[in-house]
Amino acid sequence: MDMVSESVNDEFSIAAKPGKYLIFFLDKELYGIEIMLVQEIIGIMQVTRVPKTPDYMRGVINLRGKVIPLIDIRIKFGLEKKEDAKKTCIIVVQINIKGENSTIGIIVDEVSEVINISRENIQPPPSVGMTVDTSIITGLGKTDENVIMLLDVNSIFNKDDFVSLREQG
Amino acid sequence: MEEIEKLSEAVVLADYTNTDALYDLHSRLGVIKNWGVDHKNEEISETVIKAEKLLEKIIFKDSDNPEELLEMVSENISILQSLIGSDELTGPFEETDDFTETAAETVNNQEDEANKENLDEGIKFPTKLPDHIDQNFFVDFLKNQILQLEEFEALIMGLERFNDSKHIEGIQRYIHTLKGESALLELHHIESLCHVSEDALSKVPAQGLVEILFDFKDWLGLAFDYYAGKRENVPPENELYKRFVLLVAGVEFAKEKTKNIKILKDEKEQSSNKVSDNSFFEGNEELLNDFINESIEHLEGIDIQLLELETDFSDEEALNSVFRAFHTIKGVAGYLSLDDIAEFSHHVEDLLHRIRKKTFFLNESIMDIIFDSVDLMKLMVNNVKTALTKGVALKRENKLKPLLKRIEAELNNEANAVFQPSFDASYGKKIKIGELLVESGFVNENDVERALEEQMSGESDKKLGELLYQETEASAKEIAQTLRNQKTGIMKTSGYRVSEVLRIDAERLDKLVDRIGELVIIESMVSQTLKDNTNQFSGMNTHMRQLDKITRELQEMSTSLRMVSLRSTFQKMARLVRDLAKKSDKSVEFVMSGEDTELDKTMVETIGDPLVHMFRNAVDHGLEKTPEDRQKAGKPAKGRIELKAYHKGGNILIEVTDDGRGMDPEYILAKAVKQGIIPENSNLSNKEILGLIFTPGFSSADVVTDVSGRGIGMDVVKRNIDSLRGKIDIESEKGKGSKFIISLPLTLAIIDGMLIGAGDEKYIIPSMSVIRVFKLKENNIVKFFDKGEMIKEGEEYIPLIRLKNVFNIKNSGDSITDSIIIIVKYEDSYLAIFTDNLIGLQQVVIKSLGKNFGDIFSISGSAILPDGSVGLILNIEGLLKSVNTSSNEELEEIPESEDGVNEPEESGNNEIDSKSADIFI
Repeated sequence: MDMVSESVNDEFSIAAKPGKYLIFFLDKELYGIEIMLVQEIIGIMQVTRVPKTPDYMRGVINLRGKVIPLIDIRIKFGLEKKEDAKKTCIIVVQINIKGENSTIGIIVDEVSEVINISRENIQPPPSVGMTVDTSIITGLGKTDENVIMLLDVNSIFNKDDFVSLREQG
Repeated sequence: MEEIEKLSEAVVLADYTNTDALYDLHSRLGVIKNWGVDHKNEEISETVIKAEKLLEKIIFKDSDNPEELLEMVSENISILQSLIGSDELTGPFEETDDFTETAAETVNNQEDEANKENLDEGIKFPTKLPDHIDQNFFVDFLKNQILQLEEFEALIMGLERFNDSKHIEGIQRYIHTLKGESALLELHHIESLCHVSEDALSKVPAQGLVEILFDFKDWLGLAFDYYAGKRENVPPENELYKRFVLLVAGVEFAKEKTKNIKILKDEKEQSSNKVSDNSFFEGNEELLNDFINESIEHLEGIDIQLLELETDFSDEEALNSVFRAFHTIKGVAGYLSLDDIAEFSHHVEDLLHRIRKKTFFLNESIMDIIFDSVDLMKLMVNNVKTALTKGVALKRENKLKPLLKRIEAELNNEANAVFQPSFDASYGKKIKIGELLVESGFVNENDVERALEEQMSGESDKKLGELLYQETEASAKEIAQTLRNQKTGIMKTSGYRVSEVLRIDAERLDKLVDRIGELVIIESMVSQTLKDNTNQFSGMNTHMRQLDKITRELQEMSTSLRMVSLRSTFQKMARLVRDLAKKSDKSVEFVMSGEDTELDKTMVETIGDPLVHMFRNAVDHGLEKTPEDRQKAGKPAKGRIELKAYHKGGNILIEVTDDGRGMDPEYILAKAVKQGIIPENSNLSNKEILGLIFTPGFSSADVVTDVSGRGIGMDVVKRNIDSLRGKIDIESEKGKGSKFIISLPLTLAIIDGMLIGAGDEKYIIPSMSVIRVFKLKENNIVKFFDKGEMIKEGEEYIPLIRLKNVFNIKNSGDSITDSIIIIVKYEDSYLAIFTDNLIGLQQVVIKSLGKNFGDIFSISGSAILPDGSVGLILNIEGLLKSVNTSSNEELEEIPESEDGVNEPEESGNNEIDSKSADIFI
């Protein structure tokens, strides 16, 4: 499979790579994460709050003996806070934060499916009219019925505000 | 070849009065000699040796007519030029009747070309390895060398102290091994130094070599660092080379003034002489043993690689690994004079080499030969093993000859040179290998299923064939034959990774396995008791106790696996003290004890730096400037520095003691006040004053060194030790000396913790820092303006924090009667923590919160609690800092609190336990 990203036209350079994406819901909207980054999906479990961290940092969980941080992506995206429901789950992703490999859990409303998005179905992200910060959206993936916002998880967590949480407190 | 050009230039320009130029010539000749040895070109080696001899005569003025000698050297070099020139000209296209010979020459030439490049690079110090040298091999070499360098150093120190044959032999063995390995990796400058130092060792009284050997070791350290990418450059080796040659020559010159200077013995001769008296078992057992183990390891590895190769003839990586294995075996076997093995591996290597160079092509019959070769090699290594263990004569393997003939025949098979096997021929008719193996009867279906399961579960990224190979009795060749029918040629695994290696006593591992066995038994007993409804409780209790015991033991054992001895660190310090003493012209006696004390690997790595600082201080500033000063003070002229390690109360203590001048508290105090570190009129105890030297601002050399003699980088020392959760104490008496005591926990991973509750949340306080836990009967908490709360404890006021406020905890009470107070201590400061309840005592395994939470103040980490949730561990130091920044500067000025101050009721351990029992049961 050709994983090299190319610009579809001259004006926009799309960072999103064609390939398999894990699709999840936030407020009825569809988002996609590259499947290669996903380690596993688990149900919501007992979370230990870590004091003095930003509010999108839900806390830490015990993932089979490993302590991993949990991000409430709704809050990170500026969406409304929502109580955990039956379908709420945690997507465990392996990302690279400032050169360090980390495992992080992301809380999402619901996980939908894994789909293959081909190059011709990827469009550049719109610059206006989005409910969330567009800089972390690398492209829009189109399927027959839906438009999926493709996220660059690494860039979400490599923004300075995320890393700076370690200086807080 | 560029080197020979340079050489001939140099010899023309050389003047017999210019010793430097002659040395230069000598070292250049060394390079050529190595090259010649590498290529088994005896003519070249001999000529070089002749030239070298002549040169030495000139250098040591052992001749009446140096000019004439130089002329002869020049002649020799032109012979060399023509020899090497003709070697290069022998092209692959030259017509020869004997095909093999041509082929061999082709290979040789290719090798030459490769080597030529390396030679040139070697002199200029390559930044990058030549392509044909395997990076992983190189990485292993470096890793190994960095470890062995320490041993080397220890040996030199031993030599200096005892001057016995044991140490000399050790050094010789080290250098010889290094020489072999560096030759293999084409690190020619290292090789040539090894060679010349070996020479020196055999001729010069060893004690006279200590200094230069230390320098050699240091140079090697730099060189390895350079290759590991930690340095920009390496000082040239010429200097050392010269010194070695000079040493050797000096001795010989004195010894045999009248005779001709002895020839530098070729190392090959040496090693073969050594073994030809058929005593290679004596003195070499260890080497042989290593060789056997390594070879077996290599051969096991080859099997897997061959299977890989079998599926894809073009898999160069696999081919290279196989080649490398034979190459290594050949090298060591050659050194150990296991001639059969060396010769045989040479032939196999030759075959593989041609395949690598694409002058020869892999086909199935060659694959068979390689498989057979591996089997034969195993047999031969086993024979060596039998000979070694049983003390019988080495058995010659009679299969050797036929196989060698087969190899030869195959190499002569001209058809091969043009035959290019087509990999895609069988592509498409994919039959499942599992089925094939079952059909052919090598394995049964269960095996295949198991292997498949393992493969599916993702636990293993190995191929089916490899799995089956590990699981079944089927030999590599059998599987390979089956694989041949499948040959899809599409799978390709990436190169193997090099991971950190830790040497562990086999005994420890055995014990661990034993305990795990016991664990399994207890587990089955517990489940049996549960099934058995009768007698449930009494039986269960016993089992649980045993389970608890075993778990504890297992935990201890698994931590002990990470334990390494402090020996190498101590040795480094011994060397450091020696060097420092030399440099500052002081005479120092260094005494160490307890170097076998074991410590967690990470701790051993971290403790080195602080120790270096401390010893530097001790030698540079701690000890008196001159022996006279010491004698005036009534001490022996020789200074004494002691390094001690021992266990005490669950901690490891490391002591650094000197009998020097000691520290002057008054002086330190005055300096600290002057630098604004502490306010004037501070009333500090002597201990507190000494502690000031750890303050970061305090550590500048020009301030304290001359009088008090301490204070370089001491804040670094403190920080390092803090990071290991250890502490450091100073005892010092002016005029008598100082003692630094570092106390470290046994392991970083597990602590005793006190579990406390606040609202719905649980936190852990390291038991180590807890002083008292009690319930308040009455309110003796006072508030000082808006700044913060204090609690009266005895006659003192201790700052108090309410956990719910600090951490914004919901549902946590404020009621005095329902809450508890925990007094904790960090260094000399106390803090009272106000929280809801005490849950119990618990050993916890510390887990880092990860880099992202790295420095969250007041939380030092986390741990998994018995209920599976995560508990956060409080960082007392951080909490104290937060209190100090918010208030409490005026601790002394707080007015006596109102009446009705009661002594708080202390709660003993019993209460803690009963309380925790309430909650858990």
